[in-house]
Amino acid sequence: MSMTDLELIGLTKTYGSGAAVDNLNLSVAAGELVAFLGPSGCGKTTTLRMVAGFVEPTGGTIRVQGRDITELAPNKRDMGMVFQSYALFPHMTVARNIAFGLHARRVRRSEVAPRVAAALDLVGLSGMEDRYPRQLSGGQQQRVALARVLALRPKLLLFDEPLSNLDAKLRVQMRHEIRRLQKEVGITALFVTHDQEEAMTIADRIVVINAGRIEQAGTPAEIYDHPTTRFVADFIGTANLISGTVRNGRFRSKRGLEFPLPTATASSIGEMALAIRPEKIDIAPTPSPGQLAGRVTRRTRLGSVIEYELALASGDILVVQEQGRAGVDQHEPGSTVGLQWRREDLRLLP
Amino acid sequence: MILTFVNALILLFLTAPIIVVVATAFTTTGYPVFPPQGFTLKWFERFLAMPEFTEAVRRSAMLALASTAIAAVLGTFSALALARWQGRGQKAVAALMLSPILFPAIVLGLALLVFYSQIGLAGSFNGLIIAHSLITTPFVIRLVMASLSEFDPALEEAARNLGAGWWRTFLQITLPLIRPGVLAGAVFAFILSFDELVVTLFLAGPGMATLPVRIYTYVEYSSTPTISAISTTLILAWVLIGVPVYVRFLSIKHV
Amino acid sequence: MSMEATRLEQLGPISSAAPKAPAPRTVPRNWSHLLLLTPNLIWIGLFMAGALVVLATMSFRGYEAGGRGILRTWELTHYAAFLGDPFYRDILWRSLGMAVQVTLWCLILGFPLAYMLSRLRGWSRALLYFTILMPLLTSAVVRTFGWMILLSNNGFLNKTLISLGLTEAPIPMMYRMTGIVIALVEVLLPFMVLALDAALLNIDRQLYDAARNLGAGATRIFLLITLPLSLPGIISGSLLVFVLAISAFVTPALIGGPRIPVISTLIHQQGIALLNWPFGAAISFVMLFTLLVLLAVTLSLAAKAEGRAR
Repeated sequence: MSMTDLELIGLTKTYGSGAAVDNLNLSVAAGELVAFLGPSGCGKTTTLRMVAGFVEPTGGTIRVQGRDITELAPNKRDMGMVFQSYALFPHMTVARNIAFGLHARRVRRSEVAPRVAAALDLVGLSGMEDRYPRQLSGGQQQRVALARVLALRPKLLLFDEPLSNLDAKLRVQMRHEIRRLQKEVGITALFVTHDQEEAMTIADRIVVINAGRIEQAGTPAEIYDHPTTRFVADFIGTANLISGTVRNGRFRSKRGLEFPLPTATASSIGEMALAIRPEKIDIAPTPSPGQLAGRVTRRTRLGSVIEYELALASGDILVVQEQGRAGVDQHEPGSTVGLQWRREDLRLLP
Repeated sequence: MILTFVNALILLFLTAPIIVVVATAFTTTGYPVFPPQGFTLKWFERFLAMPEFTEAVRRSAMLALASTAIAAVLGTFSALALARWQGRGQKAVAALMLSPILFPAIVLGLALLVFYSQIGLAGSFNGLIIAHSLITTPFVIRLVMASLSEFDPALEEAARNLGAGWWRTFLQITLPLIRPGVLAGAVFAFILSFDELVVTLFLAGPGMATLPVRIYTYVEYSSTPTISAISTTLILAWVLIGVPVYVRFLSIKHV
Repeated sequence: MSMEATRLEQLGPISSAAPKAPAPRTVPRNWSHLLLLTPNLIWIGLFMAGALVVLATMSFRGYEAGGRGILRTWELTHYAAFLGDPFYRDILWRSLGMAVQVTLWCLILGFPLAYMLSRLRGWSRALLYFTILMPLLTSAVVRTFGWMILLSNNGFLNKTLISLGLTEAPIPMMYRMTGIVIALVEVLLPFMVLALDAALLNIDRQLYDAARNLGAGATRIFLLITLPLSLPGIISGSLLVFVLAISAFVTPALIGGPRIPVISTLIHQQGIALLNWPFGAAISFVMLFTLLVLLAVTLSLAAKAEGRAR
């Protein structure tokens, strides 16, 4: 029996120059970790701060566990926010930092110390009670910020790009830590990030936001395999996007490339973009008759993956990615190769 | 290097009168002469034995204390509001509150004298306190705002998010972090008030002469090393207080 | 590790009072700013603005010296008297001229000092900064007293000049504009240095490297890069020093004495010695008006300079 923990209804925020958040609607189930993903300035942080109470919405409602909290002051909302800069109080020890919220909520003296200890234990920092934030590494500070909100058992966890200040390896490690902890304590969480890899790894559901509006909301798999707009297809992973028109079940690109469409989409008409993921295209060393052919214009090695840029006779450019395996010939730049893909891997996007 | 040499000369020029005053405090001659002749501490003894000066010191200190207290409170509140205010009127209000720094003291003195005479504050100690606080508050504002600019606004938000109300956030988070700025501002305000002459000349009633006023009236008519001795004591006091506060303020800024 | 989670779990929910109905935000954000500012606004509004209004009113009142004193009339006699009488106009010009001289010398002497200061870092910078700031801790009276000792005909300065053979008779500096300017320059120099230093720090270091890389020598760099880009600081420093110079009282009073009246000593004389408040008020407002015009001109110049220095 999953309860809706958080509801954003028609949430809007306008500033003089326009709408930062435009009529956002979202329901988050209890225990879910939802990632807000989008480019800088898309409104994801503004939305988070409205939920936290630091920004007053111009319109709309915010409901937590059924209760309307839109007018509630930020210190009465029972949410725990982890800031990008961690915002640890520099003049207080780790223990006092964690105890701060407990004292603010007038928890009995006798209960404070055990809670602080338990929170530190949870994030693996037992014994650091008397250190000051400046004596801790970035990763440790991050954990203290986590412990500080977890100690309060809030109704909602809010993460504002908390991993941006960490180096790549630590970021990956902390990602998993955060997800693990969130699942253990079972608190619903909102996670703002501009890093799509992060969102894909950590979230139960991703909400892709662009210019203040939700482009698409769904599980990582749904977002990746079935993007519903060009923006989403392009923002998540790489996508080959070819603009063109659809008529009579056939797709014709602006430069003249033509092929039939999967029957499911045959009814669409008009200007569309065709999308296919680079790893879903197979390259045949020599084109068989009737097969689509392309000339290799660039070959780049990206770690374990080899990326090819192919120019088709029509002028369209496609990017293809293949797993690089030792012993298997790589395709030479300048050579002409054949391309194929499965019809069901094509996506038609408005 | 030529630049260093030139600057050394300029620095000498800058500190020349202070060196002279300190040196002449020890001269054995009956009037201040530079370079001083001989060495004696009798001018210091004489100054301590003159009640008109020791009384003036006490009066200046009380005045400075009272006006600094007001300036510290008003200045800190104003700085907090101005630093966090992003709105349209901020620049205008900030300029208004910082204006007493540039405002000619001579005009302020006369204006307050005339004003006080209408509202019955003429020649009163309270009137002096108010005047001094007007002059010194902008400096507190400036210094506290400098302290605030080093301050991550997320800290206050984090405190609120964790459940702290306005008062708790202010007491436990904001105040401790701006303390260096408030302290530096208070010390600066105290020194400024203690040394203030022009406005005080206009407003001090009979028997209310502060130390700078006494020194001024003395210097107008006579020239004795006693003045040098008093001045030297003041200089020493301010350096002893100013240096530690300055060092602490600077070092906190760079943390 | 899930033991820890359950341990936190076991401590149960935070035992505080049962949640009441959500209380609305008590004070909207911008109003709380206004609340904090109100005490100071009242203070300044009442005592500074109020006092100025009263003074302005006073400047239009008639005055009968030796008779009934301040009259309850409305007249422009004082403004006419000040601006019409060549004696008073001279004082105004003298004061303006004095302030201009002081400002120029502060610029000339302040720039080298500021230049060096802006190039230093760490402890040496803090030390130099403090040395420059320290004279400000001593009151103007004390410093002026020191200059009185130095500048007298028998003073150290004259004795040194004579012994160096630079002059035969002592150069009179006390009770002369020369002495006032020297002393005022010393008193106000720190302000200029600080303003210039702030502006110089703003100049991107890499501009100098680029200029040197392109072949420019020290003089060219100074004239074509440093000077133009530090213009905002030059303007703000000059404005500050000018205003402080014109408003200065102690130094011109003690070093110039009654022989060299300037605007500020005139106001003091009218206000305290002669008790002619209306006239003193009128002079004050002439001075304020002059400063206001200057401020307006300077700010528009500064705005243009700021635009170019980015």
